[in-house]
Amino acid sequence: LTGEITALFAVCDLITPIQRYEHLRREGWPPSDATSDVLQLDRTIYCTIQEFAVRRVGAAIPLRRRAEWGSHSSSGDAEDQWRRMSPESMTREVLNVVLPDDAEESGDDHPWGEFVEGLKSQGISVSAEDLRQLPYNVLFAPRLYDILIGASAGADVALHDLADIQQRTL
Amino acid sequence: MKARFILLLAAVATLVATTLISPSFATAQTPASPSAVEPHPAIAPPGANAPSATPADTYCVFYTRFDDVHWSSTAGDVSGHGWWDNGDCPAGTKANITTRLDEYYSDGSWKTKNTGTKKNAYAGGGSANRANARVTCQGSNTVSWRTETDIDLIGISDTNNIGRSATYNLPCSVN
Repeated sequence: LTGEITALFAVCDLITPIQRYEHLRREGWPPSDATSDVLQLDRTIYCTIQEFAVRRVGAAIPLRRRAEWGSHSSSGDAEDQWRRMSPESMTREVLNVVLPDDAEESGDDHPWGEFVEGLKSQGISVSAEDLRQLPYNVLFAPRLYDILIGASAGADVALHDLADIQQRTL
Repeated sequence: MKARFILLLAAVATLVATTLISPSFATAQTPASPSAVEPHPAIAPPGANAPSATPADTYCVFYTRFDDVHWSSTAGDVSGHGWWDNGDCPAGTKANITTRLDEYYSDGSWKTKNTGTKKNAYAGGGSANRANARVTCQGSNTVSWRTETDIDLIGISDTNNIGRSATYNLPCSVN
């Protein structure tokens, strides 16, 4: 079909409190301030999304910047949000995030032109029409998938992390 | 003797000049520029993005969904989006969505640089049911940005429930 590119996919993983804490520490925030910031946003759940192109041979190629998804419940309960999520509903959320800015005007579900240019910069020549015909899959990191199918609680991950962060801050 | 007097005079003159003139140089090098006085776009310190709204009772549960501030597919722009999903609100409920792009200022304030709205949006998102806020960068200074999304259910009372992204620093400033 398109020769070298055989599929497109997005990988979704949750951003744990400890990842956010460590990100802030790397940016130079003092431990107490980083802890405070993480705790202030503890009612919101976050995930990262990264898109790739699958090559017939060789490693997958990152297509776009890492994006971030967030959700805040009117009940203020983060665990309630996880309980109501499933692989299907999270897939819809990922597809919402990766929509192009002009999706309502263009009707496109993905920024094909941006993908074409990104692949061209990697030495791969492919057209937008070629890419439209490829499967686009959404994959989940194992720890997120476990939460989405109810095998583990998102709150457990968060609580474990928050306890760890507080221990580090002491 | 005369030469020694001249040398002494020169040394005194140099000392006086150093004492009297240097402070004026120092002052001249640190002027009170407008940027030091007026609030300007800056990088947010810890805690500047704390949630202002606290959870409260609502008649039904819904979820405010959003992405982070990111480079737009339109070169030189940054954008952010907001949509919503239903928890246990009546089926068919619609909402007005407001998404703001906020830039952090050196006086500790967040200033909204663009607001995107979507009226009568169904739950679940998609290109037809999301608000899009976008702004064109005017400078390349690295400053802090965030999105805020407010969902106003139509015909149903709800709280001022703001979904707020984490703060991200981007080389994009808007004055």
